[in-house]
Amino acid sequence: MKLKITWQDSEKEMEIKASTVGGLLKELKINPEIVLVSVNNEIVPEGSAIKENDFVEILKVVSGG
Amino acid sequence: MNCACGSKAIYTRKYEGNSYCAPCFKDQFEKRVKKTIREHSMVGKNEVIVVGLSGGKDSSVSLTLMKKIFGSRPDVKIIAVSIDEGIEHYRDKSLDVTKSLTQKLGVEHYIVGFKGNLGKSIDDIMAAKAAGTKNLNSCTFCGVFRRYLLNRAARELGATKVCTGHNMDDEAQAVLINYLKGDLKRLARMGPMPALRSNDKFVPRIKPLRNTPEKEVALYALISKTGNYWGECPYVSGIRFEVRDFLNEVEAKHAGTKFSFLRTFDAMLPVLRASVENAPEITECENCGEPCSGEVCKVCELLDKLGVDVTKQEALVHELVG
Repeated sequence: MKLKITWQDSEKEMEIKASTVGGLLKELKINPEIVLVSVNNEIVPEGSAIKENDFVEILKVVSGG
Repeated sequence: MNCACGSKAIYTRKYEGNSYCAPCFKDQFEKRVKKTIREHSMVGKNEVIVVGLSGGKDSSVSLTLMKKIFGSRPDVKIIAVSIDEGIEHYRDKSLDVTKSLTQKLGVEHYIVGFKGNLGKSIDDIMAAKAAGTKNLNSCTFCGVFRRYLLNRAARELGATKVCTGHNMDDEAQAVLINYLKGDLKRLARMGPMPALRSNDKFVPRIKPLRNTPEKEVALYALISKTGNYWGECPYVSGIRFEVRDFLNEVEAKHAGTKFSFLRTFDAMLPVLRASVENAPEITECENCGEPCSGEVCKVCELLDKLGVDVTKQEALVHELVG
């Protein structure tokens, strides 16, 4: 399915196989420990479902300094 | 996926198996911070607490909560101090955020700069490195100078405690780094309430976020709209980032690892402190008069490397923001 995803200052439309937020992070090889995810502007747990045309924002939350 | 209260969950704590909606998460988070403060008697009566405020999520949450918890206590004064290392397009942006936050919270706020007090900014130091005139690691200078200026500013403001935004991830990383380096003396000085060094010039430090994972601090910052800065320092480097990634990889596969790692360390701490020989006697630096364990303190040693004239300053130069 197609999703609009923002990650590290870039926004892309991507074809994704996963059906949950946790699955999406795994597919994108992003460690869930270092990010929070919002779907359609709402923060959601990793177990949440995602569907066609959802807008997913992945925010890196670990700091460096 | 729902919270125990029946509302839609925004977060699942994998290490305990519970999901939370935003209000229940905030409530749980604040309870944990209060418990940390209470368990370690971090705040007593008649305290002046200087909160180190960088504008990042950790220090912004730390200040917000200290104000929320102690703001109504007439015998506790909260002051924010920001250290300006002089990193263009990074610290200037985060300082704007600190000013907005302290205005919103009604907290007295001071900015203390590297350049005005030590003669060099981190940008100056890194420019010297890039020009090949000095082989310098920015984090070494930054860490030593920041701790010095924060402690000194706190002392000059009459503080009884310095509060920092160190979270559970920061603490776990620091413990592991000191293990890897074999630095037992430094390990023995860590812990929820660091072993106080016997010198009046050191203001004791407290870390109310020590038992909260970094990801949860970020979540609290987002849902509480603290308005913090999310940028990363352009000069970050070193073993801390390898250790950070390692711990997060293990945590992703084995939830609760960071908790148990830190709890184990805390349990071992009394034995470690008893077995590590006492730190050298604290003396005063012959250049600046600050406490140190040798003839010259680390700040003066590093300033000398930079070619800065080391003379004793009567008082720090600072900007009172509000």
